[in-house]
Amino acid sequence: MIKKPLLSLLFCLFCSTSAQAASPGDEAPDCLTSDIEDNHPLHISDHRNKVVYLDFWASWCPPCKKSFPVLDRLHRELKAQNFEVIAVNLDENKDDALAFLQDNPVNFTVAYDGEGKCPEAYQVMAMPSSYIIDKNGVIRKVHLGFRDGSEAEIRATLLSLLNN
Amino acid sequence: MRTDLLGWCLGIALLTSACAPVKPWERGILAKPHMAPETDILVASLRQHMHISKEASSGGHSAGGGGCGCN
Repeated sequence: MIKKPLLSLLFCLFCSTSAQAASPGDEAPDCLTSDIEDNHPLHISDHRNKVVYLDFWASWCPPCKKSFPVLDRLHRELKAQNFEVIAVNLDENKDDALAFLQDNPVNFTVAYDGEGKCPEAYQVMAMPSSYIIDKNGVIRKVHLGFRDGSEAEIRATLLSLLNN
Repeated sequence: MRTDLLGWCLGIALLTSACAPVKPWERGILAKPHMAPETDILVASLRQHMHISKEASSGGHSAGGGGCGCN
């Protein structure tokens, strides 16, 4: 007969492996990153009262590269309406990200989180993963990957949130 | 006493598990071209074509040929 404390320990071990991924309807977890160029601290919650497109990307991920011109275009079109794009880079080597940005320049905010604390908080499932967060800090849409038809879907979600 | 020992062994075995999942954002090195199982896609497809035509009975890929590699 296995004793109760041991059973409790085993139960805790099994329970500890399951973590909840950030989903629509959840409050967006706050986490600390830094601006990729000047290392200025950047909290995700700094952009409350704006519609935020939070994107987790890496230089080695082809769909991330595909998404960048689209995100830049959306940012340029909608920034006057309180819209912000925060692209958090997750490369292990920051220089890889900086080289990528030289080749794919963008005007939105790019942050760096080499320790992976932010993607851990959101339980990122794929690369790229993006979270559309409304003005109250609630996740309204989670987008995994980036395909050709993604722009229209993202634009529709953003416009409905910005017009609310 | 013996069941206690068994329980402790099971607990320790669980705690010392050597497998750690690789997170999606930790796959940068795995994504490098030299980490691909096949470095040259063209050479790999030619090799597979020859293999299939000569080993038609093994199946699993596509229709087998007569061994000439021209199907």
